[in-house]
Amino acid sequence: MLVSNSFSDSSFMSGSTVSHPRVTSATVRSGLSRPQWVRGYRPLADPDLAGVKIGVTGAGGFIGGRLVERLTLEHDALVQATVRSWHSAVWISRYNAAIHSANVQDTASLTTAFEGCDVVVHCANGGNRPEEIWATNVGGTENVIQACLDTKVRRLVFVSSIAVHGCQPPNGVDELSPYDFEGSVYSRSKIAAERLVKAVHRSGDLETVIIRPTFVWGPRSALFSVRPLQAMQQGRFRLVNQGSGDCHAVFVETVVDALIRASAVQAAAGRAFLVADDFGIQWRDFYAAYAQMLNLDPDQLLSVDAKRLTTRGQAFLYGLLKRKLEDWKGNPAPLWRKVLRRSSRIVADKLAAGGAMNLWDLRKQARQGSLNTDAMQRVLKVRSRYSFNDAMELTEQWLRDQACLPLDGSNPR
Amino acid sequence: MRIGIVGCGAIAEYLHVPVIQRCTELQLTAFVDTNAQQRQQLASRCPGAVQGETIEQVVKHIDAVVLATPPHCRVSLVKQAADLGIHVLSEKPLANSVEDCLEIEAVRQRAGIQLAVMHQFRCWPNRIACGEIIQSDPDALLGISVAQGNPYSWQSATGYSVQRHLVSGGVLINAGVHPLDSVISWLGDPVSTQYTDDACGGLESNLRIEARFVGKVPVTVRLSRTCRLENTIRLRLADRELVMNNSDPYSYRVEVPTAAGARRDSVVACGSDEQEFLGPAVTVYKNFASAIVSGEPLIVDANEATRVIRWIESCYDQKQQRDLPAAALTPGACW
Repeated sequence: MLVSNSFSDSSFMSGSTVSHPRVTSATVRSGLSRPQWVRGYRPLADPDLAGVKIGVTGAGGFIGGRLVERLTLEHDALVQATVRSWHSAVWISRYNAAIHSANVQDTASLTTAFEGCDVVVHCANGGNRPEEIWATNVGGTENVIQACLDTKVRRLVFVSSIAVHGCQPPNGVDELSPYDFEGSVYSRSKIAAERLVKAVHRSGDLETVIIRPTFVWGPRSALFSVRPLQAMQQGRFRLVNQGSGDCHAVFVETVVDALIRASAVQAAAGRAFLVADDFGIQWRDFYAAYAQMLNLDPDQLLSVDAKRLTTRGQAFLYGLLKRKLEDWKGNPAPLWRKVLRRSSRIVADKLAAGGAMNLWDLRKQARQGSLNTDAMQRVLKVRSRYSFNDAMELTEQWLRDQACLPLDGSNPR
Repeated sequence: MRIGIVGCGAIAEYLHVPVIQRCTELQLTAFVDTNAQQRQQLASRCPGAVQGETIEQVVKHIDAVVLATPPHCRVSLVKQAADLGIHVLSEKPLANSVEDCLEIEAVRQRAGIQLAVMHQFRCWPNRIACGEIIQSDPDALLGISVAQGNPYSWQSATGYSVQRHLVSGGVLINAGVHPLDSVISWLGDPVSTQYTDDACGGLESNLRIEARFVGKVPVTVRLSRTCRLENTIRLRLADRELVMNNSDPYSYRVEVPTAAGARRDSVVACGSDEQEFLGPAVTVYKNFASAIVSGEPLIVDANEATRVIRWIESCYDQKQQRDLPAAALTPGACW
């Protein structure tokens, strides 16, 4: 199904907050007052995806899950959601989506799920060890492509990452900036996967679109919402360079907007898009919001100097130990490995308690420079529809509702 | 008495087999499942037991069966057992609907068999003790709060609990039967219920209930299978709170606020010296056996088990009256 490029002006609203009270007559009859957190979200006006069959891999995850929710509820799409294990389906089972148990390393299971799909959005990624990351991100993408070809899917939307440009992309980075994995297996795997996606597009057998989100946060984000909060609660959170790095984190709703538009916009075919919000904030502003949720003074957050040798040395050691602990997993293990594991774990835990992070994260948060998201705005017609404050409020509501924070607003410490 | 297990899945393996093996009154003599591999795997723990795909195939070797299958199978299986004159112990929930529960009871009555339901929490010593405290002074009870939540981690082969076409509901029917049944056993049936959950056309994973009982006792229930909650039932009395933990049948905590605004906690032990976690389930089995042999009243029969299904059904009926929201809400938000 092809969709034209024209969109109503309402889809360009950005930054403003619209309280969206939806008190239906049924709600009034039942006498239930609408909880505060139910307001605040607005559906995307278009595209029209009613009745379109869309496959989503990684549907049990953070981005894939939210995509499933919005596609089913707001766009009446017929979603074929794939999850690797059933317990990850508890979020999306709340919606009217068909759920398939499918592993990206098993093409046959993907083929079953993609049967009849017009579009597939490939969100699945993961793994801890390098070989797992490679198998999932590269091997898995290869299998997804094959399953799309086997079932004659029209378009594949691939969720990549800004990590393909390295942990410190050049100032003004855009989609044409060169690849740079800087030693990261994750980054290298995403680059390799993108090459596969681009190759199949060039072959003419499958339309593809690549979406490169920056650092995705919001309700359900482990990396950029739950873990920073936990680190602050446990006293091991550290800013980098007083949080003076430019924060180009992206609220999950903006990413999902981009994925939805990428499914339908004709002009998006064959292109890659950086996806980020333009809140104009630094990392200190971003993390200050979480500190305030905990009734902490953001000015009292501890910081590390990214240029100091000791900081970089600790980061290097911390990253090395984490990688080695993954490699040394498994029993039975010879005595020497058990000793090494135990002592490494002790050192890694001590470093973590002191706020250590790996080199990639250290350098990422030290970066100062802009991103160019013109293509996202011009071609996909996607802009931030939520202000930073509104997005944080929605995130805080989720954190409190899901018991990451006390419901009464008190400091859990 | 010879008993067979119908449904050789996880609950049979982790609960029913070890419990039956602790009951000297019972002998595990048969395993029934259409899945031969699962059946064989479980039966290998019980040498000498026969196997079959239907109750009829093993009827010569059993006097009773325990139905450890998903609830949507219950009606047909009870009919099969009843037709063969076999007594039934059913896992909870008895069935997915009040209609099915009533049909099961009608079948049971016609056949004249015993039918018990595994509401084992009714045998938890701490719940019995707290129930006695409530009964001794009903006016002292100011309210009850249930908070039960654990991220869903059941390693299911079929995804049964998260597949809309297989089940009648989500966390409420999956995890709510025991705590709601406890409340019913203490206070009777609810007078009014306000129900919200986070389902948007699918199965709920979070819910909130505000209910009132006779005497206007307020009861709040929060269930979740996405986040970890306190996992307690709290009874608010005039001068203290009694707190029962979901993982401990044999004690409850007493929280007493002090004048200084702090709190003084103490733990009250309940039940016998032999504090085995499977003990309450053993009690249900022994009661079932006694009911068959000597007509002892069942702790929970089909009629009693229907009460909690009626409450659950009324909650789902409420939700179905509401229009879907225009935009996807905060994940987990109840409406």
